[in-house]
Amino acid sequence: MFLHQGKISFLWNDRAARMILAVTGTIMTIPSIAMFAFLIPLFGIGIAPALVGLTLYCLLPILRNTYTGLKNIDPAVLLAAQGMGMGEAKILWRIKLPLAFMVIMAGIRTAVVMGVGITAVAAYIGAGGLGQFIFRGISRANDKMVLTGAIFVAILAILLDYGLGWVERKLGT
Amino acid sequence: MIKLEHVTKVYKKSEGPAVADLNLHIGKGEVCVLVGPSGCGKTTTMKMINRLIEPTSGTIFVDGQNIMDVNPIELRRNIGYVIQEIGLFPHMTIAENIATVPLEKKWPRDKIRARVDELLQLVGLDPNIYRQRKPRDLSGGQRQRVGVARAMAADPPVLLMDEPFGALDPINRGKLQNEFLRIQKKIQKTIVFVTHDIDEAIKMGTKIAIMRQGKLVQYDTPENILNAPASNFVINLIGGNRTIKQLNLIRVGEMMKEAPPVVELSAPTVKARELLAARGKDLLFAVEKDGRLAGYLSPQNAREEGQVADVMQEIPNSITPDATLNDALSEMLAFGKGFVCVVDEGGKPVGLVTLGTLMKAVGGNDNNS
Amino acid sequence: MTTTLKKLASWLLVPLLLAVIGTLVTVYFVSNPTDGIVARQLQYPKVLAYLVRHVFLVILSSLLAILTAVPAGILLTRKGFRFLAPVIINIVNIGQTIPSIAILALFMSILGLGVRTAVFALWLYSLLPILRNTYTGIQGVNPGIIEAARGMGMPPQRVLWRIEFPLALRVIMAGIRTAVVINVGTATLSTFIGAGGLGDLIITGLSLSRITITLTGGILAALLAILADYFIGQVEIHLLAE
Repeated sequence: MFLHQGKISFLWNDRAARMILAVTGTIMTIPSIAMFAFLIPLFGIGIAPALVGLTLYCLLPILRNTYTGLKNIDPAVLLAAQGMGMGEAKILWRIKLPLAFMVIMAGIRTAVVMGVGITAVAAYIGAGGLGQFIFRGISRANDKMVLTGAIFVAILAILLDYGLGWVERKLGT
Repeated sequence: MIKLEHVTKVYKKSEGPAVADLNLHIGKGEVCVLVGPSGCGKTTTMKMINRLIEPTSGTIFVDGQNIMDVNPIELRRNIGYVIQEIGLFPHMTIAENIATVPLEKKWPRDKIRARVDELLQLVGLDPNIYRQRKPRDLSGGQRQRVGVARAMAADPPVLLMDEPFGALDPINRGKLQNEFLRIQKKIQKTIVFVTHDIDEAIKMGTKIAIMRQGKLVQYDTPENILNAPASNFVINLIGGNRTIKQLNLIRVGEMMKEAPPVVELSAPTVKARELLAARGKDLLFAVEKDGRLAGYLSPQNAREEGQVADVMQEIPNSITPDATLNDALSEMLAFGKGFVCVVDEGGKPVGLVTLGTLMKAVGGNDNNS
Repeated sequence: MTTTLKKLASWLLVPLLLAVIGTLVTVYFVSNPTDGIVARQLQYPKVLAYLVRHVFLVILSSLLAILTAVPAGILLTRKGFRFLAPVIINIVNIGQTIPSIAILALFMSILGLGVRTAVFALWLYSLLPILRNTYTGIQGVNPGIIEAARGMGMPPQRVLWRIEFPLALRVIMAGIRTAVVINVGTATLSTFIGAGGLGDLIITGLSLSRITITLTGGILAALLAILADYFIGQVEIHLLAE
């Protein structure tokens, strides 16, 4: 779905792309707990607002990287593809997307790592997960519980970042 | 002016020395070109002179003083330094770039401003247009001019130039080389010039130091190097056709013939015919009212009736007296005629170079050897 | 004169707009309380105090971060400290992947609740992007330019301040921008470790099931983040535009 959005922004003209990127960029600056505050009136408490919020936050890095990845392809390569009689769709799937892959993957990686933090906060609005250790620990004044939560969240983020980095390198070469 | 005695530089991580026991003496006002393949130690040698690199052993004297006794900051302020165009400070204006060393030397503002304008004029850039521009607004050739101006800002007696024209296209490079030689004739600096281009070395150098693997292979005037290469390495470096390369050594001004008679564009062709007959020539230059060269006439052209402007032939390109005979040859080949016109900076005809001129020049050199 | 005024007006348009939206929202929610509980929680002095505390947390920690991270980043590029750079930059990179809530929780469990812990955690967390960008910004300056400056006899200090720093400023500013925006968001979370700020309004509203209290805090925090991002972005453009 994110890839699809990126594709659309690429097919539209530059101006629309820039506007979409500006809007998603602004969404990203909104603090996550504030975002959940807006979503609760619409989606109630629990997993639903958490999922919507996560989606909104992950939009920007993936969208932006997909856009720049597709945009920065050497025009000579595209010309060569056209010259060999490839159609628009084929050029997109066979040439553009593979070439932009590394950049798109980097965007996905950023989004996932960011998502770990936002999910942890979402525990506060009843979405569950590791964040629960932190919030329950705070309300029960249990430092060990807070520490456990913090460390697990941190390790999860670092591991995911590392793992996706590894996938990126493996698939990239 | 500059003396290197038993200078050796060994880098920590490399096996052999980058420069090995180098002895070099560069006289005042000379242009010494260090030339050789990449990794031969020419750039290292140059950077040791302003102590950007410290020699492992040996001594270097600039103006009789051991440079190790001078504070490197002080030393560098008195040695101009030009590197490829990347060396301009992109966040500063052209004026600020040129003013760098005078500012470090704490010159008064008025003096700096006057000096900047003077230098911009010297390198052929209008101060009123370029003073406040940024390097990115300039073409490659213009940036290089600014680089030279910046190095000369505090009027240092010594200039170090590291492939100063390396990033330019051949046409601009040739132009800047000629201009630089013209300026050098005026300012008479002692110059150490690094290049990997042997043709540039032959053209620019009073003396050429050919280096290979940190050692000096031959150090002599361009003429002697062309006539008596010291080893096969030098022969290979010079490459084929030494005779043609010798054309690089001779300025058009030294060899050109007297310019043919001129006739104004508005004159009738009768006048051209009379001139040709009276002087016994087979070529006429057509000039504008202010004396600038416009075209040429052969006797056949002059036979037609009408005005000179109607019958003359266009001249696509001309050269200046400070160009080399090699430039003249390229022009002739491009032009497809057996001659090329020589004009001064104002575009007025001052002479003529023909194939005969070139033959004489080359023949003369052959007789000497 | 009129052009500078016009420029100033267009420059102030977005901040003013954001301030107006914030004020309108606050006024609306404060003057239309849904019940007594909301009326007690949502009072102008209270809302203002939360806002001031929030801004205070952000500005203090950001300033501390700039004052420590920029010199530290510069130091990492100097001879004698350069060998430390790979290790430190690696630590910084790992630190940046740790979510802010985890950082806050971590230091809360070590240093206890309170404003000090919050400022410390915010400082440490916003240090990372500034440090990294200062380092990469200065490392990224073309070595040819630096050599030209040295070769002309500029002393190392002057090379740093006249050449390296100005040329790296754009990258450093980008790091500061990232840091401050992250700080606004993290400061919202610092309510959980008892440091106050607009996050207090959000969680008070949530725990009392009074959505207008939550929305007041949320909207103000969001506007503040957008304002900070816009403001530093403008400083970046105007300071560096030549």
